[in-house]
Amino acid sequence: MTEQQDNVNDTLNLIAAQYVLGVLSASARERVKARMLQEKPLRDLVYAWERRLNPLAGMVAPEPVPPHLWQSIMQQIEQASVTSNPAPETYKDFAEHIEESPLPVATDVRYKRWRSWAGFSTAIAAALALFIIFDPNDIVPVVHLPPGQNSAQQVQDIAVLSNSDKNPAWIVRQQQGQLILVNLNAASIPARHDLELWSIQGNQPPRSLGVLHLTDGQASLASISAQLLSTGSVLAISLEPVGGSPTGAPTGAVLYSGSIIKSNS
Amino acid sequence: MTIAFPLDERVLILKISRGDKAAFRQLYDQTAPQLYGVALRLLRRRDIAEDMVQEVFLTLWHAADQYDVSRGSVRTWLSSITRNRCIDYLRRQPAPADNIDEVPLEACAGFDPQQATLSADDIKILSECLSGLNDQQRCAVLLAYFDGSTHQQVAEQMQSPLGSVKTWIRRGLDALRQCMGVA
Repeated sequence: MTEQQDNVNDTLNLIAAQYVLGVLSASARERVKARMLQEKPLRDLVYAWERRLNPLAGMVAPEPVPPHLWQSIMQQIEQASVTSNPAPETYKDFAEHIEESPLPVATDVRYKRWRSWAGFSTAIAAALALFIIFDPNDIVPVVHLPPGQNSAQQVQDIAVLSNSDKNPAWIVRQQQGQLILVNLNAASIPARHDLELWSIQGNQPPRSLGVLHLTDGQASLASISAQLLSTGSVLAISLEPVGGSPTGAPTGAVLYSGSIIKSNS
Repeated sequence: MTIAFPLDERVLILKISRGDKAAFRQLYDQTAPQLYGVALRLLRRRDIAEDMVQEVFLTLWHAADQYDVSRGSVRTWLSSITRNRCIDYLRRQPAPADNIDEVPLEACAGFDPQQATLSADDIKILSECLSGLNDQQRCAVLLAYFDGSTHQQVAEQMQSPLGSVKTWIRRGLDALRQCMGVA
């Protein structure tokens, strides 16, 4: 291992240690969490530090828990079981980010936040989406639609696509068979080119999900096979000639990529 | 006289993943007071601490099948979830929420392994390794851990320069890693 690699590993280790210890600022914590979604080495280091440090929690004196807390928990579970919220199998891969993930039953605060967000204009959607990215507590939120709308049409954020510098650039939302991609930083597309979205599952060749036609920073793709959106699949956006890849496989540079964290599929 | 023994928490997790509410209640009874204590120590507000513990157990109910031993024991895992949620909450606040339902805090977290109520083996190793740190390093690390303080807040609590505190914490963490092993 080179000295440079050693330095990189030391830095990564220190970041993980400080994250678990809890000394990082809000913005630094959010950056770590965003990176953990995509960098297994960092995730493993964080878990190792949790194993080292978190037994310390056992030194804090236990406190009697108010009786109403259990009742409140069970009440929420019962409510969840009679709604159309996702079943546990929707939470595959949850272990990796379990503490960052939203609850299947939104707390009042999150519910209110999302209910209000749902009514916001497209113009500020990107800014809100940026907040989502840097607040992985809220990644993959289930949007609670206003009364009157079909609950079967729930929208779920399923992936964050980042550029080569690991900066989040797109949020991918799923609404039934439709995908909505929200661009976070108004990336310009070179002339005579289009962006094309691909799904990659394991060692399988990339499968095209379609060319992105951006309107107000968003693109929609309809009739996407659920199979191509399974949890753990990788989504990637490549730069292609106008109209998309002529070969059926990516021909240009992959500009953005990210894993599907959770899918409605 | 009946003596109730705590059930193996990995077994409980397995049962919970199958929808066993009695196992869920059992794990709640065995761990909630500890997690609530951790949340209360960090947040210093009972109402918010209750919300956090509630979120942890709701998450647990829906994702028990995703428990991964790489996160440590079940208790360590639940502690990690609780701490992360609490620290994220603290970081989102404009100022420390320190004047409601105040919970007495030691000036510099005392360290008595005899007080440990969980993960006894783990705490023994950690205790031994913490004993190897110098006073400043140990104090800075423990203040940060138990109070969820940032570097800056630890510096204020220890009335020391920020740069020194950062160095103490970094060196303290390095020493812990060396002592406890890389894995």
